[in-house]
Amino acid sequence: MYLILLSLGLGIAVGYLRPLSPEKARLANAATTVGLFVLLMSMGAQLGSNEDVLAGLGRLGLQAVILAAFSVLGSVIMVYLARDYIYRGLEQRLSRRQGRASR
Amino acid sequence: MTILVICAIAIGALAGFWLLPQEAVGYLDTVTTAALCLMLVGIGLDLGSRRETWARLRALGWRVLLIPLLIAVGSLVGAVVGGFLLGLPVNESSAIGAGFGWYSLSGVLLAKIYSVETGALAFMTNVSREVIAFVLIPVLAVKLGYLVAISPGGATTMDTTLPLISKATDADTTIIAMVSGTALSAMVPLLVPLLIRI
Repeated sequence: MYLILLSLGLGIAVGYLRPLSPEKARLANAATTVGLFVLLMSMGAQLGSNEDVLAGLGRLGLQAVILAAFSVLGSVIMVYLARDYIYRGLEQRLSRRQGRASR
Repeated sequence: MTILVICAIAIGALAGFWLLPQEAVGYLDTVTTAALCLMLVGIGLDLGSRRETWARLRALGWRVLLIPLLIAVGSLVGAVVGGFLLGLPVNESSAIGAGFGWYSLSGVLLAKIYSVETGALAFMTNVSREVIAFVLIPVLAVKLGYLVAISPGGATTMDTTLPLISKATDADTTIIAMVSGTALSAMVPLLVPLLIRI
């Protein structure tokens, strides 16, 4: 837990204080990708060696679709309800920035 | 990228199924912890150096932050309600919902710090979210307005669903989508480990 926050915080602090040059950004991107693939393969290995989870993948798939649909529905409802309030706040700034009336 | 992600999991799964020696399991934890830190530093560097996005946020005013905030609250409440129907504990459903569509990160985080089953579920849930977003963005843009069209994408409106948003909406909305996706992406590695521990 602390390790997660520490690593992330370190990255953000360094990235913000010293924005990366294009080569360094590529390097950081490569590091992220390597880390991600090691973790993906490890997740795969844990899955592959766990027959209970393998047998339950179909059930997990159905649960996944339901959870995703509810998350999307929640987000859509929240933004829909606040839409007009947010636009009222943004209108001036958008039109000022672009020199035209916004929607 | 999606194909590579699936290949990586498949290679791991085959290795785990057939040829992973027992002695390797101990090393695996050290290796994955190192990989996790490496990945998070990289993600942090990327988020931190997006100065242009953060500058745009200031130009648009803080009210624009309401959008990622509302998307986050809606996702979490939605996932908890969905999880309740499925009989999932609140810590699992909320942490899965906190992936905001970033399937690779939420999946590997939960597989690493909690359980592989929850990790797999988070992975599949957030893949589904991205697919649903691709389908809904053009429809919502027409029916409920451009701002609402940002909401299904969650964290993905920073990268994968951004081109579609820019096609389905206008330039202002695309910038708002990028700011919103960046803010949500920054929340994923914070919220997922926090919520799984409730």
